[in-house]
Amino acid sequence: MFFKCKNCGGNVVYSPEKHEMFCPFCDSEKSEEREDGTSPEMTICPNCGGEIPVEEHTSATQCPYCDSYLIFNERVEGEYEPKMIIPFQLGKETCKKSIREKFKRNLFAPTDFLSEVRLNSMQGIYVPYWFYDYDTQCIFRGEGTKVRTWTSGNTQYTETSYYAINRDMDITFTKIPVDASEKMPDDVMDFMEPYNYSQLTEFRPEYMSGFYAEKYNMLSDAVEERARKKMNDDAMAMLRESYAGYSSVRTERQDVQITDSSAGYGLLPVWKYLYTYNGEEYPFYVNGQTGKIVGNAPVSQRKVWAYTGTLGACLTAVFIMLSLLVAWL
Amino acid sequence: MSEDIKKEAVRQYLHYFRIWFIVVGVLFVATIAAGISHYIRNNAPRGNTSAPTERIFDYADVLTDNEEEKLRIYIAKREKEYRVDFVVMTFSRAVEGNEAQKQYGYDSTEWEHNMMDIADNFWDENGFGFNKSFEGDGSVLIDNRYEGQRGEWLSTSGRVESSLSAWDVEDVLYAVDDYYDTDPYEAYKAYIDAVCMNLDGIMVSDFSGYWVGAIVITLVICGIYAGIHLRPNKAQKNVAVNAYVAGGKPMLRNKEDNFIRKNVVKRRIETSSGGGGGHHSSGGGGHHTSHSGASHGGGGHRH
Repeated sequence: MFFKCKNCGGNVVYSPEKHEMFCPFCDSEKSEEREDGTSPEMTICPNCGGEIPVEEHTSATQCPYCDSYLIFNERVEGEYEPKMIIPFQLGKETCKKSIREKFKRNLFAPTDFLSEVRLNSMQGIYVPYWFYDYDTQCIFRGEGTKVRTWTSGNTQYTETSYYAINRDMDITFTKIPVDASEKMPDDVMDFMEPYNYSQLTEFRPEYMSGFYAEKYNMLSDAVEERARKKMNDDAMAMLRESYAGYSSVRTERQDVQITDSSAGYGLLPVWKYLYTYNGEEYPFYVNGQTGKIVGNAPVSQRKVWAYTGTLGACLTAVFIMLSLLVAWL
Repeated sequence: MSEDIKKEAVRQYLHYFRIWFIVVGVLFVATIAAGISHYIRNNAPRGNTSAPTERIFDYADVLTDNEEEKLRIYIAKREKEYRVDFVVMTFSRAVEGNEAQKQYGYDSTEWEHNMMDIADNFWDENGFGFNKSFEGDGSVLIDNRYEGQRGEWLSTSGRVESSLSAWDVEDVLYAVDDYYDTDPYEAYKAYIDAVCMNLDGIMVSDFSGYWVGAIVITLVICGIYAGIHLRPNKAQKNVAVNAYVAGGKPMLRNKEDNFIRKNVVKRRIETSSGGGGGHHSSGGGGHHTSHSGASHGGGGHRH
């Protein structure tokens, strides 16, 4: 499917700034009309009939010929229909500005790293995520000490009191996110967090127009271990917080039991900027909702030598001239 | 790399180092100006023509005629090079005690005070000084060979006074001391060499120290600079532990902290008395004004 403008026939896209559908050709708002292709083949553009390269898990892409954003019905419906989505809140221009701001002090980055042309290649991608809910019962048993010290005359007293610590708490975790994409690096996707779930909404294919997307390509069971680890770490941290204040604590038993669990499928927005330098790829990811950036800028060896060498040469020149000035004045 | 990117890279580079280039440029101009000024000064004729041309006053007859001649030539060479006067005066008479004070009309009965006065007065009365009489650039080393009151005193004036710290004066005197008893000619030559070394300042005496320091500072600054700019911008995990907890906090069903037992350990505090210390005094030459009102520096060693 794709969304066509009723007024001009152009491709209508979702505007993160306006939070609604927008035609970039005639500036019309909410003028979209859903058009489903007539060809059963996914690789044929329903707008221009051109052949489009479609990867195995792609659910939305752009036609290389007519630039229309296409959404593949069979990859957003049925078993692949997301239950929830956070629509893009940050547009490309805002992300470009954020990236420039973050990396402007990276002096040794290649000159064109932050150039307009390169940053324009940035793509908005909806990444498939599994969201896990857990009801848990957490138990802690241990022995804690509290130490008090005082001095009387020339004697120092140290009193150690021992306590039996018992904590039982119920923790309900909701929507622990784990990406369901083989292509997206797990550690980077974890760094993308947190997302603000107050903007989580029911899925509509309109949100995907203007962006790229993937359907989930890792099953819920396959990635749940990551969610459980996050849940377990957070539960342990909350247990520790509950008995803070002791000088030392010896653990006798701690346990996190899951009493109920479920998983839901949804999409989260990520901007991806892929910079290639000296044959190596440097991917940068920007949280499409919060603007958080993950990625390291490449280093231009030529710049390192030029800038550090110039600084060294300037310092040496200053030292030489100061010594001459002192001697001659 | 396209032409546009190359141009942009050069523009960024020039913009980034503009302050440095301005500083280096200004220093360069100042250095050239100082160099020209230095050249003109060094090639200007001697400013003080009223002082005696003799530099060696060997009243105690410490040097042979040959040594005096050699020293005269050496002093002339060094004076031309450094544009300061080097004077050596030897004598042999009492400079300490009541009797000496009465006999010679000294201000003081002390060796140091009188040696200083003699040196300063000798300089002032003869009107030494390369660039100008009286308060001009140069120094005089006086050497008293009177038995029991032997020793030398260095009096400095003008540029020599301002260039030599109390420690530098001590260095000069120690250089003299090395030959004082064995070879007076070498001792006076050592005095001239030591003063010259100190006049050279950073260019000779501290040459290695200055450049080692400069190289180390440059390398350290460049290292820190490169390190700061090569440091990766690592993203931080900033997900709160309760980010995915319904209601933002857990439901605490049971919270018990039951006292079991306690124990008390006593420890006697050892008191210790100590301390003390000492003091040391340091000596050395200092700046003062002579009877005729000229400023002098210097110091002396008694043998």
